[in-house]
Amino acid sequence: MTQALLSAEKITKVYPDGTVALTDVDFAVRPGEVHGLLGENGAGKTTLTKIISGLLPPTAGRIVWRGKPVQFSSPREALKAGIGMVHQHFALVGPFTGLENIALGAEGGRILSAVRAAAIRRRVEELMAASGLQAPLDVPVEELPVGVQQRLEILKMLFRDVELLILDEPTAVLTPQEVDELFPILRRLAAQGKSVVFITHKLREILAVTDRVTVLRRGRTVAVRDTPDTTVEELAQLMVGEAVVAKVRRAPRPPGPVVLRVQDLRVPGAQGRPAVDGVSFEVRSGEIFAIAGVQGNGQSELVEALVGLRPWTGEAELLGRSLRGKGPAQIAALGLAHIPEDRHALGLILEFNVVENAVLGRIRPFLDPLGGVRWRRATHFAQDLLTKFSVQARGVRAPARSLSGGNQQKLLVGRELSKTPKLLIANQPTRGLDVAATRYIRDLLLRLRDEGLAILLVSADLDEIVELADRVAVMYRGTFTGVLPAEELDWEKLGLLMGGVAVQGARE
Amino acid sequence: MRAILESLLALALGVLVGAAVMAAWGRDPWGAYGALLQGALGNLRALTSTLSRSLPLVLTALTFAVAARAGMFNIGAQGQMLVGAVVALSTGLFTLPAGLHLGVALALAGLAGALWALPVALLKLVRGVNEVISTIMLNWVAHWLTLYLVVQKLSDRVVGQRTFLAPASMRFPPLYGELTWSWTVSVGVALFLFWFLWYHRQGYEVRAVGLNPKAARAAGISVPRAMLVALLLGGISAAWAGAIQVLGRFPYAITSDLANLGNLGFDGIAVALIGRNHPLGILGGAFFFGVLATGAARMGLRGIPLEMIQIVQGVIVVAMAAPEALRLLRRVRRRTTAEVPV
Amino acid sequence: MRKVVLALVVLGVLGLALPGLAAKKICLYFDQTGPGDLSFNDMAMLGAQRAAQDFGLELYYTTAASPLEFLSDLASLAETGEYVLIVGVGFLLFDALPEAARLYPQQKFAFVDGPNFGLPNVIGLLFKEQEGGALAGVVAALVALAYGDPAVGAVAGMEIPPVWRYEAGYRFGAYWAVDWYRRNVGPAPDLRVLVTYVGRFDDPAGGKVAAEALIRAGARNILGIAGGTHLGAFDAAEEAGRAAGRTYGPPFAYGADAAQEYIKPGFILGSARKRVDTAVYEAVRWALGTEPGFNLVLGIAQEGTGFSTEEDIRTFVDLAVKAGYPLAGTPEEVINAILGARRSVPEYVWRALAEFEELLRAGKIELPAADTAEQIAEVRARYP
Repeated sequence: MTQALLSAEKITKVYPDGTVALTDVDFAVRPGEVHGLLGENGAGKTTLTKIISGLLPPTAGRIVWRGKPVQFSSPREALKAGIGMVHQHFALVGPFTGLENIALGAEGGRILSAVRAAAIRRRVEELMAASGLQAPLDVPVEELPVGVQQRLEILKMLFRDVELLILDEPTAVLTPQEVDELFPILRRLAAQGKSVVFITHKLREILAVTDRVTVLRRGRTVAVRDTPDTTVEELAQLMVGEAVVAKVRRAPRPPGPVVLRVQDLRVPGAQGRPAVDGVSFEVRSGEIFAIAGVQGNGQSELVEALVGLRPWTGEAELLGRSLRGKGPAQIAALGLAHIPEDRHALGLILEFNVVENAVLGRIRPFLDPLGGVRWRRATHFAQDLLTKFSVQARGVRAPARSLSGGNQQKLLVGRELSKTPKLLIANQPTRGLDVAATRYIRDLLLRLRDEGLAILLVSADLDEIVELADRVAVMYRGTFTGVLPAEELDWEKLGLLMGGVAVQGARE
Repeated sequence: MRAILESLLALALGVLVGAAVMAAWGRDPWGAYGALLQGALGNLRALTSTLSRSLPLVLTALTFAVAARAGMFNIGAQGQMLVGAVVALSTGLFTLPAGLHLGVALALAGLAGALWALPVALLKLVRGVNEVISTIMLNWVAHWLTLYLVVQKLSDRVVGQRTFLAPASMRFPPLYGELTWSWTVSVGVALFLFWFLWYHRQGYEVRAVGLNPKAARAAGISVPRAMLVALLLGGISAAWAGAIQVLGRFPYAITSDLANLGNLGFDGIAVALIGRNHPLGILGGAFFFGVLATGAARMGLRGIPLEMIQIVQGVIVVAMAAPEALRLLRRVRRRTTAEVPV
Repeated sequence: MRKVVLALVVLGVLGLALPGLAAKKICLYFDQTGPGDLSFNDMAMLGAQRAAQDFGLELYYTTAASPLEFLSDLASLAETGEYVLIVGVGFLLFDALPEAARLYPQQKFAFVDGPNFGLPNVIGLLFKEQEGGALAGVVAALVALAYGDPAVGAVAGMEIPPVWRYEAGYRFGAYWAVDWYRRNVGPAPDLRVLVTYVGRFDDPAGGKVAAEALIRAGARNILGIAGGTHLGAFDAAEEAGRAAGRTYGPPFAYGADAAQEYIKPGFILGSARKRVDTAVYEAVRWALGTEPGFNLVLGIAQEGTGFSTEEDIRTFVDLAVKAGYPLAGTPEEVINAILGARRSVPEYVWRALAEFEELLRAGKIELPAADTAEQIAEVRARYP
């Protein structure tokens, strides 16, 4: 067995807010290999690589680099030792040229004298020739396509003589052609003795480019495989885990009338690529329609478009009334409630107290004719919410920030439901919550469904999807790769669809 | 409660550093502070001087505070104050019955202040121009425009160093010493804005937008409207600061170097920070600032060099303003980092 | 916050309990800049120092931080009851000084450059600035004609009556001199009188810029009537002269109030005198007596105004040495340079000056009034 270049042993990471991101993770990279790191969102891939590259300290466990235990206190130290990471969001200075970006922050690179510039250019050109990474050096990087920017990022790392290159979802931002160009380069780097850690959730890419693969699930290492010995099906199953929950909780129910109808909806995204590229679906009364998929495939944009926070084209109707050109207030008035995916950014105002948050977006009933707020009445309302949704808080005057995550979410859900909506859009409603709060929210959603509410659920948590959904659409790169009724749900199929592999039998 | 404790600590720190400065200068610091307190509060007349100095600062501080509550950094009070002062005084070119004349002058000044704030709002909301930039530019426009009008159009025929005097029909009636009934404007606006921000729907929306614009927007609150309201109310308040300085304070005119309007707008920022951007805190902060300014002026009469007084004054003000300033900066930083996903 | 306020009030009351001292002091209160302008303010200091010495008083002085402080400052000074006399130095106190005098009728005030407002406890110290201005105008215009300049200039401070009076006299004197030249020397072109108001009395940089512009416009004789501001005009005159390789003018500057020739020897040909020192001295004498307030008006008849004489020049060089002013050479060298410059211009300049002064003393010349904006506008229209 080859001596590992880097090994992470028994790494555990607990964030200050108590979230356990990694538990006893083992991970080893050999010299000269491309090593895939596979997992769903939230599986802990990014946390692990951040620890390796010195961005985060581990809570427990140790990193061994070239046989010696090390402790990097900053990415700069890790870089010095030979470990470089290319993040999804590049660290390039837009108005600077490629050459300037490469020189920036390099050893002694404070002032780019003409002599030094020439020397740097020679080195970079050598590196380009050796690695096959071609990029213009004299154009401001902001004028370059994303794929070329990425090459510059990799060149930047090579220029600093890294031996271990970590690429965080490098293909997420690339077009298929750019992906095709990237893979041979990674192989070439490996052939030259560099080690590459390649993070992805796309199964095909693992098979296409890696030598070995480590699969993470919920912060634990579940498998390490030599790539030739595994299959897409095996990896999909490893990634999403075994089916554990029986679908007994959901009583069958005849679907009611259509509440939300979406036709060929398109939402522009960053860098000119559409984030949502033509989706059509219906949500009926008494139905939970779930959208599954790895995060970043257009789900957030789809939701934001429907609630009026993003411009879109196509057609969307709520109870027969078009949503076109309407803002959040008007859409809410039509009967929409929204549990946003990031409650801190969109759902609550943390500095506001419980009462002020309880009336956010629904203050109208608490106004006197002059627009004054009847706080006494609002306080009663907030107290009712706390009781009804069993929110634990120091009191209604306590700022929302002082509530635990689960209680914040319950407050938010209670507020949204108090609007007596016709349609509820719940985006990752249980993310980051403890077991009890998760249970509470899921039971609540099922009860509301039974009471005839139309629910659009967006979740990256397959357990949640399987438990709650009547129908499931899987979203991949802005489109639905398939829509499955609950009866046909199958772990393997879901995993494949989420990995971007079309499955026979799934309706487009 | 914590805020008060924090302010007291900051005050103690500022006073100590100021004392060190004076000691290093070879002066007796405690004697000087005694002179400061006596100058500002030593007798009823001194107290009226201190109060009347504080009153316009309340209004310019409110301008900053209400915008800060909406998440903006509005430094346009200076320009709006100048415009308000010159418009209020110009109302004296017409003859109107006493009382009504004052009311009309205030109405016109308020209108002018709101109009002066309007381009800031439009540029921000339509073109995304940062309010810091636009207010700085409009401050200069207001400065030169006011200077032109004061020197060329409104100047007194005999006493060239100031404008004509505001006619008696337009002045706030005197109360005692240097104090006039103009205090009702400052206290009234402060109380109104307190009510507005905490007991009115629009004020609630202003605060929501300031704390979390995304969440406010998601909740159906119109972010542009909230910002517009905050800027316009601020414009009116600042304009009234200029108006009461001219109509409610000796010499009831504008000096031709604009010195009696001074830096009311910029000092208001410090006052707002001392008062934690809270209307009631600002009433206290302005009084505190008034004590420092009046007392410092009297220290000068005791032969303490002006420069040293200003250093000491600056040290104390900075110490008092620092906690809130840091809080604002932290919030800005949090917002900018939050927009860059890691 | 409330506790702080309470503590402040308590401390303030304690401070108040300090006993006052016997009234044996005088105080000079300057409106914009204090001593150091080598002109108006220093002249007031000079008179106050002499009076303090002669009458056995202590002298205090202070400068306003801003016009906002005028009334409070004067009131604070008055309410101490420590001062026999508070001298308000500068016209900017026009509103605040009578207000304070009415509030504190027991306190005596002197108002340099302003009237007594009919108040029994105020002495107004006024000057016929037109006279000094006119004398300077005569010299400036004749020197300008001798060197073929198209204009004479002045750098002025703020638009206030004492400065207007200087300006009005200056304009009149220049026109009188052109007439005199035509009668006694030969044909002469009309001269323009260019006056720039900088807007402050404490802005030498602004004064210099203004003077440079005047020199470029051909006005190489420049009267400074801007206190500290026109020190910059002196710099401009000297720099332009030295750049042309000369050790004395043109360009020539003219000082005001004090005999300022020693500041730039050779480049300041003379000064329009205004004896602020005499007036302040007289005010102190008045304050020690029982006479009710009145307006003391000083003109050439009382030796209160005039054009600097050789004796004046020597006196001020002497004062400058005593005050430690860094002269541009030994006192003798400085005086020689000043007198040398005076000898460098045609002799008839001084003859005309003497003639004008004689007519003025004899009351045969009536100078235009310039106490209001309308009057100065009229003068400007008549003597452009």
